[in-house]
Order: sequence, then structure tokens, then C-alpha cells
Amino acid sequence: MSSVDVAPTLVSAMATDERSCFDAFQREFEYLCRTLRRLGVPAEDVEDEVHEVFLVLARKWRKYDASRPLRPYLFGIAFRVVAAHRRKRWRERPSDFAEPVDSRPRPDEALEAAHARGLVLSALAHVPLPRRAVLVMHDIDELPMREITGALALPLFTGYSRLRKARREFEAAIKALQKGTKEP
Amino acid sequence: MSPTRLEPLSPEAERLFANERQFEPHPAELRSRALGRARSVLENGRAAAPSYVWGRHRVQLLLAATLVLVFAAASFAAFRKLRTGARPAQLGSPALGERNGLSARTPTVPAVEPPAREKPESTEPAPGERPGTPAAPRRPSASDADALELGLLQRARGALAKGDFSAVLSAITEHQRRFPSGRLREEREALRVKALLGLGRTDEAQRAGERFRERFPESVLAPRIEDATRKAP
Repeated sequence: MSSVDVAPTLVSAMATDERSCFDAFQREFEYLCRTLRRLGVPAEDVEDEVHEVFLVLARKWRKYDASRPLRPYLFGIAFRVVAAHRRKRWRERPSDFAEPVDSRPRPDEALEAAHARGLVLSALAHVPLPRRAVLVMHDIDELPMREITGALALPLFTGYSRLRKARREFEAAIKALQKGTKEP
Repeated sequence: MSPTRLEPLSPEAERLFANERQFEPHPAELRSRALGRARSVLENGRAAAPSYVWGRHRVQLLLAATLVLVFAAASFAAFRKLRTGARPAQLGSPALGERNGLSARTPTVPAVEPPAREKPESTEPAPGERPGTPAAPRRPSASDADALELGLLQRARGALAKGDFSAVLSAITEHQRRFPSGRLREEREALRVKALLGLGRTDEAQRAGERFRERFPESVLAPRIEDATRKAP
């Protein structure tokens, strides 16, 4: 744990709202970083993007209904931050965000797991962002569809149709990447 | 088929997703920096949030605003009296003249301008205040100001991502004008250094970097700024 996590003077000096917001951010920090990576944020940009998520969270924190689960709420913010960032780019280039896949033989399980992770992130990069968000929330975060559609402000059936299509795109991308072709 | 019915995932996708759920944590250094930045925003926010300042120093602000208004009104009245005394034959009131489109020819309009120009300098500019509206502007809520401030820096960061460094400088200049003591001023100054470096204005970037280190010696962004300016040719 870093010194930032345990700075008692800081925590005691914060207002209650700010403290609860900071605590939530601190608690879910890893989740947010993972989510941003899955939504296509390059590793070197995660720090800036997660900070932007925090700024939005701090601004909206008073509106957050504490009786609702936090993760779908955070995911919704992260999704919007990433989508806004992408709109500012000239054009979307999936390869920019793809994790490089190393096809050489792997000596141990840890490297095998890292290779699998690279494969997942690369395949996710080939699924358009709105569908990718549903896929990540449902199949990786294992959130119920009602929470997902609530967080992303979607009709329930749209959530299901996006998930079905995203799964097809993901599986096609995996097959293509394993075969070594560039475009699925 | 029911619209909520899903086909099962393939075994390969299941395996990959199961692996993905057991991710490795991000480096402690990243966590430390990111939490430090979050803390910094909250600390700056408490110091600069308009609602906080208003609540804590309400009496002093009201007194200062009243004094400024009284001084401006007295100056205006004295100046007007002086000008009227110099040209007693002028017909109609200055206000009527302005309504009739005569303001360009009457000397009363320049007389109004100095207090109007002085006003923003004599009072602390409120975040989100619109320029050029001296008469009782709507006071934006803290939330509005935060959104506006964040929006400006998002614009700067978007431009930085595209390599459009001039646009970065333009956005942060606007941020500085509207939010000189904004809660994101530390972020703004860090972006300034990056933009200047991107434009090849190394000397200015070095100076901006030095100012950054002086103003925010404890900033978690300081090592990155230091690193970037050191690497500059």
C-alpha cells in the first residue's frame, strides 16, 4: 500500500462527501484501470484517463445513489470518458489500442496468462466501443444485464442485441488473431 | 427466439475471459501517482470552490463589492458633472442619446468605460463568469463551474493527443483566463509544459517547468515534468 493511501491528515481534512468519493475511488482503483484497458486505453494513457474518471466522479458524487452498486456506475463514467476521448481523435484506429500478441512459444504459465490477456485486449479492440462495453460488463465483470443497461442508459433488448453481436465479433477476432491474420 | 436469450460462449472465449478476470494489478507507482493527483484536486477544490469562498467570506465579499460599486458610482458622477459643466449646451440626457443612436457622437460613453474596465480587475473573477457582462452576471453553481473547467482541460488534452499543440495552448489560455485559481490549475500548468515542448519552444517550456516546480513542489506530476524538460533538446 502506498503512502498516499494512508495519509491520515489528508483523509481527516477532507469533507465527508469528498472523503467518501476518494475512498470509493481508492477502493475501486484497480477495477477502473482494468476497465479502461479493456475499453481500449493504451497502458501509457491509463493514468491520465483514470484521473479524468476521478474528476467526473468527484463532480457527480453527490448525485450518486449509494443504494446502487458502485461498479456499474463507475463503468458508465469510464465508458463516457473513453468515448469522449475517442470522438476527439481524427479517426478510430483499432490497431492503436491493440495489445501486441506474441506468437512465440511460452515457457511458463505466467507468460501464458499474459499472452492470453494480450489476445483478449487485441480482440476487444476489434469490437466497436458501444458493444465492447456491454461485452466487458457482462462476460468479464459478470454484471447482470439490468445493471448494465441502467449504467449505459440503454433499453434492455438493445443490451442483449449488442451483447450477441459483440460476442460474434469477439470470437471472430480471436480466431483471426490466432491464425495470425491482421484483420478478422 | 426470445430477445433476452443468449447462446453460450465458446470454450475458448470462456477460457480467455476466465483468465482476464484474474488480471495482474497495476504497478504501485501508478496507483500512488493517481491517488496523489486525486488528492491534489480535492485539496485545490476546497481552496478554490466558489461556494466555499462565498460561504466563508460572505461579509467581506459583500463589503468589498459595495465599496467598489460606491467608488465606481462616485467616480462616474464626478466625471459626468465635469463633462456636463464643460458642454452645457448639449441637448437631451446621455441615456436618451444612446437610445437614439447618438452615443458615438456624445462624450458620455467613454466616461462610462473606465469603471466598466476596472471592475473585473478589482474583484476576484468568479469561475465561469462570462466576459463582457459587467452588470450582475448570473453566478454559476460550483457544479457548472467544475464542468466548464473540466471541459476546457479535456479539450486541451484531446488536442494534445492529436499533437495539435497550438490548440492545447489556446485551451489552457482560456482556462487560465476563466479559472486563474481553478481546482485544475496544476493540471493546466503541466499541460502547458508539454504543449510548449511539442511546439519546440524549449526555452519557454523550461521556464514553465521551473515555475511549475516552484508553484507545486509537492505535485505528483513534478517528476514527469522534470523528466520531460530534461529530455528536451
